[in-house]
Amino acid sequence: MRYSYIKPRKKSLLTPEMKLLFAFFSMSIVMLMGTYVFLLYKDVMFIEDKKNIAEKKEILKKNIKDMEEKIAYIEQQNNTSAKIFTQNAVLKDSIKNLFDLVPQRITLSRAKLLENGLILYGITPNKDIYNFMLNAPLRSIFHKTYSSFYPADGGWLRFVSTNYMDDDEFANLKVDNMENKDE
Amino acid sequence: MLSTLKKYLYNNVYINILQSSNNINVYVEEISYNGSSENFEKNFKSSERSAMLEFVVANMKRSPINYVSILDPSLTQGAAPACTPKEIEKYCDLEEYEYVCVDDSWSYYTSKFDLLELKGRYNKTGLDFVFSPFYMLENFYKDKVKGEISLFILVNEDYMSLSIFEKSNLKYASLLDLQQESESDDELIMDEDDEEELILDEIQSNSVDLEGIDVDDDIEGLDDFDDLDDLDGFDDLDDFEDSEDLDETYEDNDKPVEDIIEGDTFGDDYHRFALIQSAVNNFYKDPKFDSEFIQHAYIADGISLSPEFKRFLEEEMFLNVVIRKIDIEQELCDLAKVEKK
Repeated sequence: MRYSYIKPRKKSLLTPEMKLLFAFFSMSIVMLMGTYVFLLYKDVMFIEDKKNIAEKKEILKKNIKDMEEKIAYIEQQNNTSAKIFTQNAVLKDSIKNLFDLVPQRITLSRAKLLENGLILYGITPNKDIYNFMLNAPLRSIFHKTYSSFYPADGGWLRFVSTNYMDDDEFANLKVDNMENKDE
Repeated sequence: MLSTLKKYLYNNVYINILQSSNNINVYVEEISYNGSSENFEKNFKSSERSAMLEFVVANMKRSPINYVSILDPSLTQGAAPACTPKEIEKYCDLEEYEYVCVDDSWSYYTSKFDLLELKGRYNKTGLDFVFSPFYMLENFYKDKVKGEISLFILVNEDYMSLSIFEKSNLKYASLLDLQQESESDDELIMDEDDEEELILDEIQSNSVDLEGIDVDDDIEGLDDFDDLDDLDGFDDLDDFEDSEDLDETYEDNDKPVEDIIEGDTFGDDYHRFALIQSAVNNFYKDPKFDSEFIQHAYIADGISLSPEFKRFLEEEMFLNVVIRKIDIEQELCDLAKVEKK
């Protein structure tokens, strides 16, 4: 319908009040959007950090496990070394005791230390010196003692003395020695 | 969506200006989204023009959806029973006049210069609608213009827009300027000694010359002219007086004529009557118009006419007169509401 001579002017909604209102709402929306984006960014960062920390935690757990394994291995090695040290000490004492047992008139040519026994090779002027001065202390230590003699130059006798201990006694002795060493 | 937002956000403010030589009336109506309205009116003298403009601007600030309407005050405006530019050219120069066609039947026009001048005068406030009084009149009596040939007059303070319609077709239109001839009429009417005598002379000189009417025998409607005999008895007028329209007319017809003559408005009303009579006479006499005898007159009274005005028309022009009060500012507002859509 157009019955007026002129057309109406265009009506703008943007009154000063509306402009102020729109400015206020725009600022509010921008601030809200900014806050939302910031929180979104922080959230993503937090998830990322959480993921990284979880990964680090896993790595650390794995490292701890490795370390524990290494510690256990080192402890085992330590125990083994201590055991070896003890055994060596026992062996050293045994050898020292062995050489203390041998009288001056008997000469050892070879000694073979066994787990639960001792084989001695040597030369003796005669059987009596051997029996009284060496065989007797050996018998007090070992439960089974076997001696073999072979004639040597100058009337001397070569001997082979094989000595064994019973298994139970050997075990007890071993334990005692270990305890003594620890002390 | 934007229109819905506008609807709920702002009220529609219609500012309607009716200006005359002495006064400027501003009628403001504010309509909210739920249809409730608030209206008020303020009258200014012509000298208080700046105050009026400030009042309009202040009311425009009530809402950005405001419409400033004005009834075209141009005295060069008119209406023509044609809608094509070629036909309208017979009534006005289209290079100088702006026109609006109504229902492809008739059109009304006004001077482009006057429109520009009007826009310039309201440059501070701006204008959204400029309506023609001819369209307002047609719209006001929309139910009557569809009928047989009748005279329609919108009486304003400065001018009257007169039009003759038959079955919604405009036959004749004229803008009757009350200011132009008021001085000479005042002299004529206010002559104390020969007052009544001069009035009668004036009536005679402007009276309708029924013999001079070009009667077209082919027009069926003219058969009704046989009924003119009935006018002697005025019996039919009783029926007319019983009609609903008459409820809107003045009821103080029993007042003595002498009393009316002494009234202040008598001179103005007579002047209006004289102008109407002259215009109708012109319609009857001018061969340019396809004239027929007019039996009915419908007056849209925007200024509170005296009962004598009706009596003049009825007795001197043999018209069945119906006067309906019109609040021109409110009517202007209604036109603006429709036009806005």
